[in-house]
Amino acid sequence: MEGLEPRLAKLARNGDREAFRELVQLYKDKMYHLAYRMLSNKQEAEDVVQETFLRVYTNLNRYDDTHKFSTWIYRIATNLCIDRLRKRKGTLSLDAENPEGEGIDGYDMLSSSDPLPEQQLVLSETQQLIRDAIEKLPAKYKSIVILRYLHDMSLQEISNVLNMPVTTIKTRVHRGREALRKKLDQRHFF
Amino acid sequence: MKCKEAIIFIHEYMDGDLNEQGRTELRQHLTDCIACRQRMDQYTRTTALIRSMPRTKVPEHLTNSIMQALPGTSKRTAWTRWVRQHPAVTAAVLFIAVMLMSLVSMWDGDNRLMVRGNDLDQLVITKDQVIVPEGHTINGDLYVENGRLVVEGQVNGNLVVVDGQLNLASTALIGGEHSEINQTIDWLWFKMGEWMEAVTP
Ligand SMILES: [Zn+2]
Repeated sequence: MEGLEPRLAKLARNGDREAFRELVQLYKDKMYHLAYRMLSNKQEAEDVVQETFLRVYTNLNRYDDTHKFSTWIYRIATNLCIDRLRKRKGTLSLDAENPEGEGIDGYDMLSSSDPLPEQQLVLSETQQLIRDAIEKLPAKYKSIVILRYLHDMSLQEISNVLNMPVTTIKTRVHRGREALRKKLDQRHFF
Repeated sequence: MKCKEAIIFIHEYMDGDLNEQGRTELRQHLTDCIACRQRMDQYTRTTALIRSMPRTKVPEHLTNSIMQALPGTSKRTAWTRWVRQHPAVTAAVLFIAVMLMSLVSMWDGDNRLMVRGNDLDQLVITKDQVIVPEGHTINGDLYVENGRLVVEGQVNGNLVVVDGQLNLASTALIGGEHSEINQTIDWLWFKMGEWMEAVTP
């Protein structure tokens, strides 16, 4: 039996807008959370979500339903987020393993996040700590940490989304985990 | 096992990828090494903290803005779709809009009384009305705009009143056709016909 998502995609491809709306309903929250966590900016998150669905819509005829729809849409959204992070002026490529000192990564000043990113939520101090730590991760680690822990993806799923070997994903999960641990340690969380 | 190896094992374990033998070796190292035990505890707390992050509220208009951004849903087609779904409301709105427009234009000084025709000396013209008095004759057509035309005498031609009113007295004698045209109303029906034709399938 055909799954719901390929079926909706097929209907949408044939011009059924309501079917497409259902796909939007199924994925908009996930895409928004992903984009918001990647970009720390509501307007940009919204733009990315819109762009993601636009790309899905215009490429429906290229969607190969032997693959998971979720993999496809996550790939589009993640790539759009990474592109935006790259384009942000002055963003350091943190591949240049900079020694992690307090605010010396130059990231703090250049961050384009909302002044009060989660004003409707009162974040505990530790939640702010982890939020900041994730925000400052280099894009290639950030995306993987977010997919792994906030979207509950397996390493294999992440490898499908990013179209990278599982071994690469694994290494990045390890490095991301270590970077976050270090950051929290520096802030005397432990 | 050295600490360097143990840390790799810890990551593997956290990924759910450590086999039984690896687990035994790691367990062995952890019982002997406080630093690695601490490290593992810190990773566990780090990932728990990530998972505990609250989610921001998704904007309510998101679905609609996504749908509207799709090709083929320009503002114009969204508007015509709305019109198609609400023909009566649309007609009413257009009607009110046009009536307001004509009300407004009545107040701008552009609507002066205008008279065109032959034998204008036979007419009595006041501020807003044109009278063909009893016993007077106009040879030819008479055209009146923005005013009332009162015919008591004789017109040997056609009468046209635009945006005004035609009053024919019982004594009036008209040689040709007579017609009243209310431009705004005619324009309204004309335009509405055009619009409805454009938006209805
Ligand atoms: Zn050790």
